[in-house]
Amino acid sequence: MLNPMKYYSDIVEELTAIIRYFPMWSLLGWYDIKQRYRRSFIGPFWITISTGIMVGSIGLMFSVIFKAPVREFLPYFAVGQIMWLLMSTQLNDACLMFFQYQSVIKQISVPLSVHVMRKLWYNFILFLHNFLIIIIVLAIFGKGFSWQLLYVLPAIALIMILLFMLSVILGIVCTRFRDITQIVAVLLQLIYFFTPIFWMRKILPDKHAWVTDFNPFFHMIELIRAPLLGNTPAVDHWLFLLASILVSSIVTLYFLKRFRHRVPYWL
Amino acid sequence: MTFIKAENLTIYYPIFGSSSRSLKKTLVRAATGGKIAGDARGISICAIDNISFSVAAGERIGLVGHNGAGKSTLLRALAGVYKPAAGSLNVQGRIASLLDISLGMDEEFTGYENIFMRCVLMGIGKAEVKKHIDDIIAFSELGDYIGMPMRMYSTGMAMRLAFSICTTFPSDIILMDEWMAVGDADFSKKAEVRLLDFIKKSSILVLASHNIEQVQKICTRVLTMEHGRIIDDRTQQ
Repeated sequence: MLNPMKYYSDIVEELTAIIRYFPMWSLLGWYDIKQRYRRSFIGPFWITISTGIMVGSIGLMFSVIFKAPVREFLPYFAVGQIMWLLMSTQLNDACLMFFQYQSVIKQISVPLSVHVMRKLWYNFILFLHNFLIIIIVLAIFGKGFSWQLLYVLPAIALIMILLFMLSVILGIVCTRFRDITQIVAVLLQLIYFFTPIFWMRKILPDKHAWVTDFNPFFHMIELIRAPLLGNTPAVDHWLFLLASILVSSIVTLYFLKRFRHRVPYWL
Repeated sequence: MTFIKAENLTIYYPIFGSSSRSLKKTLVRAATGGKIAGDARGISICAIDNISFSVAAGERIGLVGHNGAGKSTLLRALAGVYKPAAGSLNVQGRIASLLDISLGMDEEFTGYENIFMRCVLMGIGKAEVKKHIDDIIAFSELGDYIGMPMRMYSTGMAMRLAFSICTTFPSDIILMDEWMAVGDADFSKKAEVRLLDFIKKSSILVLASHNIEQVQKICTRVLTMEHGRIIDDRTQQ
């Protein structure tokens, strides 16, 4: 007879590790940021500045090209672009993270989810720095405070959960098959152009609507963008994100169970 | 109760060339039914070959053998890094892995920051570190250097700091790859005393070494390994 507690013990151990090892991943993720910006005067705010310049200049240029008013287009683009940066950097980084942390993985026994959280925390801190730009843009062009803004909190929490799940899968697969890293990079670049970030969803003809309808990145971005721009996000987006989390969790938990002990051997 | 018990412990390393790690090869192999590439699992090296032994509290184990005999793999298996491919390995007790004493330490950080970095990887909380930090700094004799980035340190200074951190928090089981000798003549004498004291507080030591004399001096039992097997198991006085 299968003992369910024993059968799932790997998964339980991996998931509870997120809480048990909080001091470890939070410190390591933070030190990764510190290390990257050591000896620079304004530190991680360089990321704010570089993203700010990028968002400002491209936002202005496309508002001219698309003949969209700046006060409408710039906040739209800023939120979309910054959400995209969080998601794409995390997924790209996830491909190489076990490889990057191999000195630790090969020396001490730490659940894989701790390494994933370290990377996720790192990218979340960078995201918070970028979020300053959103605040500035909304302060200038926004519609002021509305209760809709609160939708951002559950939305970002769900997005982080999905990113965690996808990162586990990508981390494991890319450690075993190094080529996937490149495939992911190319795909993400492609998806960027097919996601309404620097173009508006409403200019897409109805018969091509599937491009966004089946794009999980669109739904995630919209869940953040709609409330920040003063709208209530459509129920579809929530449903799509929850379904994505459900499906990816099944794969992730299976992968953790099946491959968590294989990763040190593959490095 | 601290103990180590290995039963028919076996560990394989898969060998990935640049080719077999690629997706293409795997897809092609799947398509050709796996016959061309031979074993579907690919080539692997048997690093630990069906060994059984047990270690009771109080024992000091020396692992000796040639390069590639499986000593380091066994240490890593004991540290929980490599899970057995077959058989079982039961390790009870808090492990201090001194396989790489400067694990996690970074040149760009100050000695102070590196203490926290190194300790968090040993599973030691901030409060606990703060309690012992003065002792760590004092023993390392770094003085004011502790506030400077580690890239300013000489190799010896960095080792002294790592050594001080790793020997501060007593553990049940100590895993060591080669006996640690750090610093100049004066420091290494002081370090030896501290290390012996650190070992005395533990209940099991596993030391892999090429230095037979050192092993005979420290250990109560010597395991000789060859080709992933234990070929000799000798208890000594």
